[in-house]
Amino acid sequence: MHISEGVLSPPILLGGVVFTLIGLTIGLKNLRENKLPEVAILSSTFFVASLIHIPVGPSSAHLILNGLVGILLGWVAFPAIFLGLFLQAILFQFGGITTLGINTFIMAFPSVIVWYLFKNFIQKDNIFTFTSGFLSGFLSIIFSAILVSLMLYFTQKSFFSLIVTLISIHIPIAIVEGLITGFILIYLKKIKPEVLL
Amino acid sequence: MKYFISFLLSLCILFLFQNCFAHKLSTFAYKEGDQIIGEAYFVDGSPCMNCKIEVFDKKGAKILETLTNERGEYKFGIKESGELKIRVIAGEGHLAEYKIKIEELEKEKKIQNEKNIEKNISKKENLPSLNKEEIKDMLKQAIREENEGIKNLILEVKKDMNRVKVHEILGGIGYILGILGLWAILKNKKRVN
Repeated sequence: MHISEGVLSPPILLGGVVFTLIGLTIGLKNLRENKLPEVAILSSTFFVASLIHIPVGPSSAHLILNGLVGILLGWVAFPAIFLGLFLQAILFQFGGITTLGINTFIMAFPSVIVWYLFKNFIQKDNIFTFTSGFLSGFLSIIFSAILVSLMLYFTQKSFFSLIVTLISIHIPIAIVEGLITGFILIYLKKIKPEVLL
Repeated sequence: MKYFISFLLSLCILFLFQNCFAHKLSTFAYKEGDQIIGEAYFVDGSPCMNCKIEVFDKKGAKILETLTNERGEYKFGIKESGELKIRVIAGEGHLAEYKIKIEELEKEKKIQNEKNIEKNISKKENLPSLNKEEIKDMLKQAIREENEGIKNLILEVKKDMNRVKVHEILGGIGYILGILGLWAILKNKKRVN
């Protein structure tokens, strides 16, 4: 999911920076003080998750967990993911500083979308909680894959094959993330229901 | 919160067992004779197979294009001197660049070396059966064999430098907690004031 430096053209990078700044502003405005420890933990989770690879056929993909971050934090996912990506860029050179804006947008925007879609369902029945958790984990990956192929399309112009490859690579990882997110939501609901509010 | 921390820790442990990393791409190249030989690999050490290689001169013009083999290796002959930029493209947004300097002085040195060899040959009368070219090839072959080990070592060290270390992960988590902790302190100060 991390786009390397030098792949995208400057206007797209700039667009990514602008969108990310908007997201960061909204996120920081919505950030309540009592949520700060949760943001720290989820940001660290995101930071570590990218290092865990799951072998998928000949290739492998890594966890992103932006669905989990999104469903629990909403717009605050932007600052959380930004922080995680920033440290990944400077410590491991995943992505890079110039692509920080676009990468944050690619991963955090789907988180916000799934939050709007499923935030009303997670406090209902256990089945509802699990399903919405699964779907938010699953869909956020698919949305991210679509966004990546869109961004690459603007520079490479081979959209259809690209989107098919990217989505097919990410479907297994999307299922895994869906399961992880679903079980975490069920677990949180049992032991700490106020987190889901 | 306790549970979250344990989840985070279990992710770290999973990482330790798996020893797998994200798709960061790296490349490394060196000059040998008239050829540039290089290798492209992902951060976990797996090769970048059939990846596109583009070579640019110092003005930024593309000189040539080639592909890596199934071990991630590539080589090409080059006449240009100066700084070359090698770009590896693995698709899906993965890209790596490497800069290599080719010295112009080399030709002059070559001529000088040849003269020296000629002098040496003329001095030693028991070597007339070998001509200049044969000696040069033999020397080259011997040096190549000697250097093979060092080259592999450098490649290994390079790959190792790119690997994600546990202390970097723990450091990153520490940074996140620290930054948000600072944020919390600042917010708290405002409220007290």
